[in-house]
Formats: sequence, C-alpha cells, structure tokens
Amino acid sequence: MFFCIFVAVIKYYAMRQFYHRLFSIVVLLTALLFTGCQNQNAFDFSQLDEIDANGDWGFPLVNAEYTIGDILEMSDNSGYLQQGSDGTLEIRYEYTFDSIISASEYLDSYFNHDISVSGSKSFSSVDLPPVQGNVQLLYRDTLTTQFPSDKVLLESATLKSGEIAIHVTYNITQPTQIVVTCPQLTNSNGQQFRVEAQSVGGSYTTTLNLANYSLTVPSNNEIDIFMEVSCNASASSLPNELSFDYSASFNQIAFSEIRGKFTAVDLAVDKEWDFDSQFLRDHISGTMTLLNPEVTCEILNSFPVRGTIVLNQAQLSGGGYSASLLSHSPATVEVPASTTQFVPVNLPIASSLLLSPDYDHFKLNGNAVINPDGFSTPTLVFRDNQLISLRITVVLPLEINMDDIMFRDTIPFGGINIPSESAFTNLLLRLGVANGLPLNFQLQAYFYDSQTATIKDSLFTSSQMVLCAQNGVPRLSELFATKENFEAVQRMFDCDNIILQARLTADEYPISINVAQAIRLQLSARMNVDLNGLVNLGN
Amino acid sequence: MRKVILTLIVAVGSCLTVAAQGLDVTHFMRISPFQHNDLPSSSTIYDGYVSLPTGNIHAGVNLGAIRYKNLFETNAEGYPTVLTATRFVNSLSDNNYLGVAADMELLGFGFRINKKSFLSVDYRLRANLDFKYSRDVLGFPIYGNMAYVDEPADLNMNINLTAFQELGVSFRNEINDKLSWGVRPKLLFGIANLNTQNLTAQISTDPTDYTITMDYYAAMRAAAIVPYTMSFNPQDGFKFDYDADAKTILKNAGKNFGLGLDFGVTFKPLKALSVSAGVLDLGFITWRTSTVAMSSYPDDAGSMYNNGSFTFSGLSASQIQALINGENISELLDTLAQYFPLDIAPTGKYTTSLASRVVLQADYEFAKFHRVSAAMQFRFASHYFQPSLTLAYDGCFFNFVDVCVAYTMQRNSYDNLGIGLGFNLGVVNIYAGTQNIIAAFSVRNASQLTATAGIVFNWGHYKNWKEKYPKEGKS
Repeated sequence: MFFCIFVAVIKYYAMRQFYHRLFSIVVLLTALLFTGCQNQNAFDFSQLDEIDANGDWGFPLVNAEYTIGDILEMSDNSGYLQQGSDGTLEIRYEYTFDSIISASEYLDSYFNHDISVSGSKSFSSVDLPPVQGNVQLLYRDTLTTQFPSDKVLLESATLKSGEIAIHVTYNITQPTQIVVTCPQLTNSNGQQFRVEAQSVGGSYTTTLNLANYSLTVPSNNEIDIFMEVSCNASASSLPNELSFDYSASFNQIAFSEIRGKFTAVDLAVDKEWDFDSQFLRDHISGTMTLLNPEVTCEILNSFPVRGTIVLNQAQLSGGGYSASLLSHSPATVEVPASTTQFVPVNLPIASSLLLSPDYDHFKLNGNAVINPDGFSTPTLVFRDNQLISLRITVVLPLEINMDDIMFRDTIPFGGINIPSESAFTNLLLRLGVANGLPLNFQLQAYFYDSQTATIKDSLFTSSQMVLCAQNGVPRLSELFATKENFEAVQRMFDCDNIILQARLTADEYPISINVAQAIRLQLSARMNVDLNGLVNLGN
Repeated sequence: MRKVILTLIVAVGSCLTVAAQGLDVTHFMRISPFQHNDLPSSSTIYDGYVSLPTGNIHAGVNLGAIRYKNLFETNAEGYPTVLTATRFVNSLSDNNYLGVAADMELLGFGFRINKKSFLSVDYRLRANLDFKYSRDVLGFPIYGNMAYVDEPADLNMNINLTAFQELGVSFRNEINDKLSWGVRPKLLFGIANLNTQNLTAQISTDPTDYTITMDYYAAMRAAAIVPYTMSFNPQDGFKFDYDADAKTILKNAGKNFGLGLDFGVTFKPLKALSVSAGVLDLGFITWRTSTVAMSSYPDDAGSMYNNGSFTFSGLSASQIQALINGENISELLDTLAQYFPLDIAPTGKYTTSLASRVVLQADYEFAKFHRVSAAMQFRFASHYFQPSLTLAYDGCFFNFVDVCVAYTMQRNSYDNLGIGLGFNLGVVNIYAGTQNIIAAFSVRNASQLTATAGIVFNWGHYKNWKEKYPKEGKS
C-alpha cells in the first residue's frame, strides 16, 4: 500500500499532463480505499457493555370491579354477613335455644323428696278365733299417704321411675302371710299393685320398681296402701301379746306424665351463646351505631298451656362492649299454648344498636311462667317431652352511623424479586378508585415483614383519601405512590404481607351498605425502564 | 446479546462488497460491458464479450438512516462500548428503508451484429430485499409506550424479499448518429418470495390509566421452489418444515414464471453530450409453488376485544381471582394469546411485481476518454419510492485503465462517494467498484455499503476507440 502511495506521489510530480496528474490522484485515492483505513476495532464488541436506552413505560395492572357481594363471597366464610331482601348488607345472628323450659326438668323435680307412711298394731292372741285346733290370725290395715299438693292436684300420673319399699315386723315365729296391695297403682298390663309373701322370722322387707306404673289419684293427692297379715298356728305357739309394725315408702319417684291441675310454674331462663366473630374482628375496629335492628323472637311451646316469659336481658357483648336488643327490660313475652311450630312473638326492640366487631357472646336471661292461671286452669297433662324452644334472629341491616371505624385486611404478598436492581426507576403507581360506596376511605397500605415483625414501608407517603359516591354515583379518586429507585421497590417486595388499612367516614349519615354497591379499582404503574438492567451486554 | 448485535453488524458489514439500489458506479465505467444492465440503450466499446460466473457480481445494502456512529459510542481505542439505542432512534426518519440487493451473472455473452446493433444474452441470479419500517417500530421498545400518549405509536413495516432467475436478451440499435434505442425482454423464474401486504399496528396509551389499545393487521404471503410447510397454534407454537429434494426443486424451478422488460433510448444532441432514458425491471412474477398466506388481526376472544381492537386495561377481577386460586401465569398468557391468532394456510397463485426503475441520464464527454454524467433513478419498490441522483466522472487512462468517481444522494443518504477501477488487459477485463468509498474509510458514517466486481472476457475495444478517436487512438 505504501508502495502504491509512493508511486502515485512520484508519478504526480513526474507527469506533466493534467489528466495524468488526475490519474495519480485517483490511484492515490484507490490505494487508500483498499488499505482499509477504517478503525479495525469498530467491530470488536468485546467491550460493549452498556445500552443507552431508558424508556418510559406505563402499564395497566388491574381493572377490576368488586361489589360488596363479591368481596363477601371472597373473604367472609362466617355467614354472618348476608344480603337482605332489598340487597342491603346485613349482619345476621340467628340462634335457637332448643329448650329454655323443659317439662322433664319440672316433672323430675316435682317430687324431690321421698314420702312414706307407717302403722302398728298390738292385741292379745286370746281373742283370736279357733280354727280346727289352731287359732286364725288375720290383720288388715290401710295406710294413706299424700303427694305434695301445693303445685299439682293430681288426677293421674305415669311413673317414669321410682320404687316402693315395704317393711313389716311382727313377733310371731310361725310362718306368716303378708299381702300388700294398692289399687291406685296399676302396671302397664292393667294389673293392680299387689305383693304377697310368706314371711318367717318376724320381719318382711321388699322393694319394688314402680317404673311405668300408672297412678290414679281420686282426690287430694292421696294414695291408699292396704296391708294384710295372716297366720294359722296353735294358740300355744303364739305369744300372748301380738304386735305388728309396718311401713311403705315411695322413693325417687319421677313422673313421665302428670294429669291434674297445676299451679303456675315459674322457671328461670338463663341461656348463653358464643359465636365466631373472627371475620369482623379481623377487618373492622371501632364501633358503629346500627339503626333499625330487626330482632325476631319465635317460640315453640309444646306445653298445653300458655305461658309468659319475662326477659331481663337479651344482650350482645364482647371486647368490653355490649348492646341490649331490648328497648326496655324486663320485657314480657306472651307464649301461646300448644304450638306445633315456631310462632313469632313480640319483643320490644331497641331502635338502634351499638355494634362492635368484637361481639362474640349472646346472653338471654329472665323467667318463664307456665300456666300463669294456676289451679283455675282446667285439668292439664304435663309430659316430660314437653318444652318451650326459643329462636332469636338478630338482623342488623348496615344502615349505620359510624363512630370511628377502621377497616383493615392483611393480604399475603411477597416472593417477588426484581430481575435487576438497575432496571426500574421512578416507579409511579396510580390507583384509580371509582367508589360506589357511601364511604370515604382514608387509605394506606403497609408492607409488613413477618420475619422481623416490622413494617418496612408504606405505599403512600401519607394516607390518601378515596371519596365516597355522590347521590349513588361512583366518584373517581386518583391515588399516587412514587418509589424513586429499585431499593424502595425491593423493600416493598421483600415483605410478605400487605396490611391494607382504611379509616371509614361518610359525608352524610346514616349510610346504607348494599351488596350491589361496587368499587372499581384501576391500578397502573409507570416507570423508567433502563435496558441496561434487563439486558446484560457484559455477558 | 452481543452475539446478536455482532451477527447483525457482520451481516451488514458483509455487504460491503456489493451495490445498493442506486445506480452502481460501474454503470458509469465505459470499460464495463454491462452498462446496458441499467440503461438498455447504452453503447458499448466492445465488439463482443463473454461472461462466466465471475463476470459480474454485484450486491449491496442500503442502510437508509442507519449509521454506525448513531448506534455505538466508542472509546479512545475505537472499541464500541455503548449501544446508543436512543440516539439511534432519534436519528431515524418517520419512515425508513433498508435494502439489500444481490445480483450475479451466471452466464452471459454479447456480440455486435453490425455497426449499429449489438445483441447480448445473459442469465442472472437476482435477489432483492426491500424493508420499509416506521421509526416507531424501534422507537416504541426504546422510548416506551408513554412516549406515545399524544399520538399512537405507528408500527408499520413492509417486507418484500424476492429471489429469482433472469434470462434476458438485450438488443441495442443506433438509428442514426443522434438516436439509439435498446430493449431487453426477460424471462423470470421465481425462487422464493416473502411479501407483506400489510404489517401495521397502532398502539395507543391512555395518559390517565395507561390503558393500552392496539389495532393491528398483518397479512403476508410466501412462496418458494423448496417445498415447505408452516403451521401455528398457541399450544404447539410455530412449526416449519421443508423438503430439500433436488428433483422437486428442479421441477419447481420453472413454475414461478414471470416476464420482465427493460427498454431505453439515448439521444445525442451534441457529439459530446448524450441524454438517455430507460425503464427497467418492468415486470411481474406469478408465484405458484408452496404458496402460503399468513394473516393475523385481533380476534374477539373476550372482554379485551373492542370493536376490532385489543384493549388491555388491567387484569379483571376474575383473572386476579384465578391467579390467586393458583392458575399459572402462563395460562393467563395463553388466554391473552387467543386475541392474536395467526392463520397460516396454503393459498393459490399470486403475482408480485418487480421493483421497477426509471433512469434519466446525461453524459458529457468534456475531453477525450473523460466524461461526466448525471443520472436520476426513480425506483418503485413495494410501498416505497426511492429517488436517487448520481453525479459521476469516468476517465480512461493509458487505454486500459478505467477510473470512475461517483457521488450519489438518496433519501436519508447524502454521503455516498463511489469509486470504480477497471483494468482491461487485452481480452480480460477486471473491474471493481463501490458506491460508497466513505464506508471504507469510516464505516461509522456509511449508509451505503456496496461493491461490484467481475472478470469478463471481451474484445474489439481498441479498434472501436481508434475509430472514435482517429487521431489519438492510443493515449
């Protein structure tokens, strides 16, 4: 090449003619052409390790509409939050006390002590009539006892359990016949109660089970037991002075049925119910006043007689708060007689209710009076399967005045690693909220690391306001969060939970929450993407 | 990534040896017997020539607005260290062009029938790639979509790749001293074609919530003498298979038949001045073998379809719930893919036209063996109009050395200084040239990377020059 240049230069000066000089110039240029004067390193890309490209990217991430119904379906499995007939969201507590009054308890406790009756007799054996060389002893007596009559005037009854104990002692050594009968007691076969025994040795004792015996009481709750002692022996074998002691006692008597007249039966009502309020407790803090609570009280009374329940307390409580469902107490509930299904009864209901999400306990307290007319009521039959059930349904439509309500939710998060630390800068998150709820949200999201139990960052520098709907028309609020660099973004992504927190307020009270009310969320992100962070030319 | 860039650059750089769609510098060299290739009415100094496969090899690339200096930042030693993508995109025009042409004469010969007429026959292999693209094709991924909130990003591409055989018979005749004409009918046999009828997309971004809306339509056709099959479905992806059976290829070689025509006229108002006009590559090819049509446009696959457009405004509640429930992100992407179906199906024959050219040229011989030329070429590539202007000087020295210097300006390319050099050694003519000598000195500034070279056997030029310049037959 240098030779060509040398020749061209020499020829330029050697040639005289213009065109020959021109040729020399062309040769020189041509020589330069083929020397490859360009930089040989221009296509050596071994040191290429950077891309100068920083794009401005914006992406929509979420455009989702959630109705209150959707949110409940996703997050509440307690069942307490339900849709009312008009679509209003309501909290519904429903519980049935299967037996606030049970006849069996009453019948079992009616004879809560044993009753007994006894007698004795002494007379001279000389007076006994002779029979074929011996003398004939025959003694009869009637023992009359009485069931308590202060509560029941018995006409008849069926014994569920119990026994009768008979004890006879005498001073005859000869075999003695003892017969005890009670015509008022008949077994399930219709046979009257009768005990016959041949006794030797001066005493006789027996205990008999009276389960399933029927008892007929003609009057005054009295029952007659007939005793008969007989003996046929030589006169010389008998002592001159004969003596008999006898007794009968009814022990542990319980009835399965009583027919008769009753006094008013006064029984205590003291029932409690614990329920799971985890969902509300997890998401809501503070209290609110619910207007127009609906409390339905239904009673199933299988007693053949009306009754009255006087409620002193029907109360929700928990977390240090309590609210009475009753507008006043005591509240009297009339209980109709002999219902085959639950029938509603009137309760004086409070017009508003302080609701705390911590409520987890319901207490019912008062007295029930069965057969309040007492003995003036015609004959009744009480059976041990008779009872009074009470079903309480508390429906709290979310027509509320809020005092200071905070909503919060913890959303699992994390496990996201940004591929390169220098790829993203100036992240701008935009959250557009078209709020169809009558609630303002003072919103903030915290990024929580459960490993260290610390909040590492918040989404917004300060909480942002999402405005409530106006006249039922959703209102759009735009919320912006910025993260300047990768470290700030990664700090969020390192956390494993997002704690979403919103202070709820309203422009006007009361507000009504309806399952059809919706929130549309439009989450989008804008960032600078440095291709250097995505494409590593060095590798 | 570096490999990709390297491959791209090397591919472009390899075209340094060839010529672009502008008039090649060797066209202006009178020592070349192939001037009729670009102007059928051109005269030749030879009585005849024979060209073997090395006779005329001609290829090049027109990078349009692409410049190395805009693509790379170099250090003091000249090593590229930074890929300056933003600067590169900034340097692009709204619409840009990349062209590649390759042309090789496999066999050719010509001879003078009489004093006035010259006949030549040539069989050539030609390939042309015309790639038109809007700036946003590259600007969108570099700038990001938020740079297009005021106006949609207009991603527009047009590709026309054609490879064919050309058998031409050229006839030139001088009617008188002032007027001559030439015509060159051609039989064309297509080898392969890829032709986009439409490849456009408009992507707009809502400045408020960044909702992205995309309208696009893609329609392409392809054909080849090599039997192949293509298919696509979202599950199996894209599949391509071919059968390179020589018998079948040979059988198909003549099926994609077409016709072409070059013609021109030259007028010499003065002895030293001539003006010429020519029309080149006026013709068509009808493609019949392995013709496939591909099309794609947004499909109504769900809520993201909106009146012919695909609109993504974020994941819906149900999609988010599906993800929460454990649905894989790939399933979601599969769902999204349903909006972008790609239909590939065999189609019937179709016809494409050649990229025709109109050449207007003036030559002035200001001294013996030295002339200057000005030529305008208008090239009608598919969906793209390429005008160019070339000013050339050609000089013959010592009766066997031909030197040509040419300057060409084209759209987005104004720095093309070409040089050609030829040696006529008796019956052997060796020549080479490039349309852009600057590329050899500074590839960083080059937009045209071309070269032409050949060895051709010819005869009769000494005699003809003696007749033309009777007093100074030898210089």
